[in-house]
Amino acid sequence: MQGQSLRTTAEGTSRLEELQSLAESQGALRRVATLVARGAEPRAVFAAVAMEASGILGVGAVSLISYDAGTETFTKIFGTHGERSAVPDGTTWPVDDCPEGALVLATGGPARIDDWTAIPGPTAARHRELGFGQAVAAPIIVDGATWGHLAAYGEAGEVLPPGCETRLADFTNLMATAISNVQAHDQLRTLAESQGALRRVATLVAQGAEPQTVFRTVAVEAARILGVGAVSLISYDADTEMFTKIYGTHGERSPVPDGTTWPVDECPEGALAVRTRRPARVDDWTAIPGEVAAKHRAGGFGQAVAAPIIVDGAIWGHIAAYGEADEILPPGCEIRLADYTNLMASAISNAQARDELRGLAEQQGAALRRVATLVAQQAPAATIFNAVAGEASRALGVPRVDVGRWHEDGTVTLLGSTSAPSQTSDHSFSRSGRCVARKVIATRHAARIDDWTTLPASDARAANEEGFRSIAGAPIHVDGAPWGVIVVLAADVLPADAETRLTDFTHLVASSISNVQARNSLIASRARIVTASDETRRRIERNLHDGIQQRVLSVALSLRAVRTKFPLPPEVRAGLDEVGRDLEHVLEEIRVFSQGLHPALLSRSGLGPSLRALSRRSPIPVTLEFTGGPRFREPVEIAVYYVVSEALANAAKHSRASEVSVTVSSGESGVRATVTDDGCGGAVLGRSSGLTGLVDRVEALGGRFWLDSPPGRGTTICIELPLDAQTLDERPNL
Amino acid sequence: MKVNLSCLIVDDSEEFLVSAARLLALQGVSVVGQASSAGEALRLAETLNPDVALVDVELGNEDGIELTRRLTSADSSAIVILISLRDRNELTELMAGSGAVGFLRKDALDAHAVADLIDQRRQRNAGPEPPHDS
Repeated sequence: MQGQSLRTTAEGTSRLEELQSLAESQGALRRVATLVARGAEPRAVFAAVAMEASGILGVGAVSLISYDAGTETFTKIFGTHGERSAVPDGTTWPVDDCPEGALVLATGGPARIDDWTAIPGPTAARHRELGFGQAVAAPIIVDGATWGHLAAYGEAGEVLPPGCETRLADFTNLMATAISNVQAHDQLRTLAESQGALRRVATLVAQGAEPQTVFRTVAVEAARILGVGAVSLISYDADTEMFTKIYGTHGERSPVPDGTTWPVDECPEGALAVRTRRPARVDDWTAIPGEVAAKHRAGGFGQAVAAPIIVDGAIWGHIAAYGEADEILPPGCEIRLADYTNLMASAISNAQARDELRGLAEQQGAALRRVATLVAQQAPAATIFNAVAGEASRALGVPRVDVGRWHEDGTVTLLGSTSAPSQTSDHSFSRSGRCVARKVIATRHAARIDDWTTLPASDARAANEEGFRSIAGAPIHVDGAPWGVIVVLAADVLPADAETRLTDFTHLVASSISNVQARNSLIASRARIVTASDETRRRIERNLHDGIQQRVLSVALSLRAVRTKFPLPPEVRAGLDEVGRDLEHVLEEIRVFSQGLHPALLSRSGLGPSLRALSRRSPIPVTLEFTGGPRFREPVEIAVYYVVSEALANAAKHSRASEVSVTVSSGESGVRATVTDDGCGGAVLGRSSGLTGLVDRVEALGGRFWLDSPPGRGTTICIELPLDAQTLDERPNL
Repeated sequence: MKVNLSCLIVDDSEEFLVSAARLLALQGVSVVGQASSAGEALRLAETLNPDVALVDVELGNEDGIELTRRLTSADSSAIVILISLRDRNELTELMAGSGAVGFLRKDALDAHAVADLIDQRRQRNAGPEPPHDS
């Protein structure tokens, strides 16, 4: 204890110099923190950091440089010295070509280079040519890892003051959380963009749009997300080693029209992407032979990135983006494209599965069309498979059909049957069908028993008891892998072509399953994005709270300590007070911003108290009725919180309502939240509306969203969320 | 004007402990201890018997409210003021029934504000328990 109070006393007798450095760093911190709190563009914050460093050090040329450990490269983010810089912003170069940066990386601390004459390499030469002399640099450490560094360059002949690198290091420490926040914000923005893209594509798929429409939307959304004008969606045929261009956003400018097929080797970025199964980048097209590359150059295109589309483990094709001849595609562009294609793979495969199903239905006539319709209507799995069994029974004129799923352990479970659960208490595979199913599974081919007496004794007995004389079965393969079995049983001899005709039904089942699986994975993709953006929001809120907010608070308290301790002239006192008030404003701004970002106290205090806190903050009086009962799982609580929060914010902004009522209740089926105001109505779901994000969130949880807002008669927003995550996928074994 | 109080500060941020202790010390509070975890706070409160403990509501991965309950329970009966960077509005339900005498937002931390909250409590308790001399 002694030690601790001694430490406090020592801290208390702080030195006067502290005042000056405090004033300088608080100004810089306040300006940068304000930008971060307002959610400014990353580039604006990075520029502010570099310029503040330049101001504090009194050095004109300061660069903010990021580091990528994976490729051992630096990327220049922003330089204060514009045209005089050795390389333009956005340039990436190897670590070894940047001596001060390499030194910072190697030592993990600030570094200084006094003499550039002996340093080899093009960067050092350029540095000398441009008239720069000494350089200092300090690492930027974010979450324990090197994010990059700040470097300051003196003029030739200028001597940078001693301790310059230490002051730079102090400054980078102060700025690290700001930089980390900006990065997280950027990530959040990307997630929000992907979410929007995925919603638009998912809506098309759900509406049963033509595959071509889905493919076009996938390409257009990719162009939007990457900020690149020319994007192509290209399919791949592994047997012929050919690419086919499905759709390009750049129309007439494209080297080849949509629908063109060409050998894989003539498309360097695509060849790389499909062969390595990883995102690829081609920077230099000058040396690439072939007609397509020549047309690419002639069309005025430069760098290209591509990412493979992998559907159920197989290469479906790739998406490629092409920059203009003089354009540098942003670093990490191919990674973002790969993230995007991963998200879209299930939509692409869904569109295709649906198309196959439609084709099949057209070929096969009424029976299959009826099943296809059920699939398109997103009927439950049991209904679909019972219908398959019923149609097969009618088509083949047999009394009993069973559709089963087989499992790794050799067991078979019944998915659908002509013997539906309502008609029999024992809803399971027919015993005599089971022995044929086993044979089908073992051989992976269709099998047939025309004479039950040839069966092993116990199976023969079963067939006799069940009254079946002949049995046939065929395997169901989904995406090339064995998945299940369909078995028909007859009291007499089965038609000669029974297995062949069964095969039509196995195709139908396979397409139905692909479709349902693709739809489920589409829902899962949307849920993953919501989770990812929640995580990012949580991280930003935490960083703000523990980082910038804490730091600004410390500066504010230190300022008050200085003001208490030293007898200061009135004008200095007034100045300090003004700075103090400034800092209060920054804290308030961050506080408001954080509240909208993530309900940090929700997990601690529960949904009811958090909703009451929200109601207190609402400028319109709120009547809250919460009968939620126990805690719900976290995504559900967060969704309810966001819906109420956004609805209250909308009411405050647009409704001119005099009161709002919020009702949250839970029952067996789920939780229901309703927000009603008595305002002017007329609210719509639109691209820029905060409500659209809520729809994403609710649908990703398998819930439903209603908006009722007739003009002049108030607005009601209502959601229902299933409490159980499994409700999202009620189809067992799929 | 000096405020004669002994005080224990409990917060998971080292940065806050340093700047808050320095400010309070300059305003005449004797900061007898600083703790960054609930366990440490309970030990220090017992040995130092401070006039007041300033306890962070969230306390990192721990729970400042639970700590307050324990500090103010029958066998300890310390005076606790809860502190947070967040607004009182956000914390009302969390703090209800914690046993704390009051709440201060961290940017409003000040020796006089601390003393006022303690005085209010002593006046309320004036009947059953005579106020200490200070």
